[in-house]
Amino acid sequence: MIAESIAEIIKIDKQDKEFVIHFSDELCIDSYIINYMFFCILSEKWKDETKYLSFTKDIYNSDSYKRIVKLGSSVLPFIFKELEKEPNHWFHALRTITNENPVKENSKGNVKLMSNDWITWAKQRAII
Amino acid sequence: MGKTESNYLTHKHFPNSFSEPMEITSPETSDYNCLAWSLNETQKWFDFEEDYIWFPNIENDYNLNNFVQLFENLGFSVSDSSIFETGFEKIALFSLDNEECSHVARQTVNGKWTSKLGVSYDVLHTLSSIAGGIYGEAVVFMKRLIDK
Repeated sequence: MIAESIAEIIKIDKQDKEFVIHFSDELCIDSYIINYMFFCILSEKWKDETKYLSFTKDIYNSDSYKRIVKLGSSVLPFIFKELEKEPNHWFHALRTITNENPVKENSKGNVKLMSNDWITWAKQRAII
Repeated sequence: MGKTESNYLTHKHFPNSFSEPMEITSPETSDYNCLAWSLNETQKWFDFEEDYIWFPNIENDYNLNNFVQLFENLGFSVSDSSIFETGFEKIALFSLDNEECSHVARQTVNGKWTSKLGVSYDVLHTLSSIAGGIYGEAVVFMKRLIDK
């Protein structure tokens, strides 16, 4: 809840600027929440920057997307939650982070089916 | 940021849309892209990256010549005009640098153009309203006879 609230505030407040977040020494926030906040910020930025782009090369080439990938396996639960909520082109990130590809042959090109294949994979591994 | 007024879209990525707003004709969806929409496909995202759908005998490359070849394989031929011609369907290839294809639009029966904008809306537009922004300009037009 804290992370969602902070992320929401940042989302509302952002004006295409880089974000600087200051935490007081007394504020204890664990790494899960920090990762979630970064994920929320970067994924919103990625969507804003790429929503009108026609091809995945440019969608995947976004700095925000690359930074999400760099966060590694810690962001997998967040990506899968996003996929459950709204299918989108998270597949390159998922393949890169997991070194797996559960997309079935007959799902290829169909973003909903590809998302479902990944969500099933994540549930089998108790990631979500 | 994007702005919608009723069902019209203006956006900084499409600077001409502020004088010629684009009419929104669908909900936002990541189900298909502009290339799929140009071929009336609404369940597939056409791309050559891993896991997407691509075309046989077409190189994995966004080069304009590659897209011309792709549409030629589907019965289109290069046209020197964007003007509506009865009995033909037309598509327009956009480019920022005259080398890579950045977008594909399809002409409708009233002579306007329809585009799928990334993972966002389908829009009805003129060639000029969508030009001058993130897609660059319409640089190649192609047409084919409509099957009766």
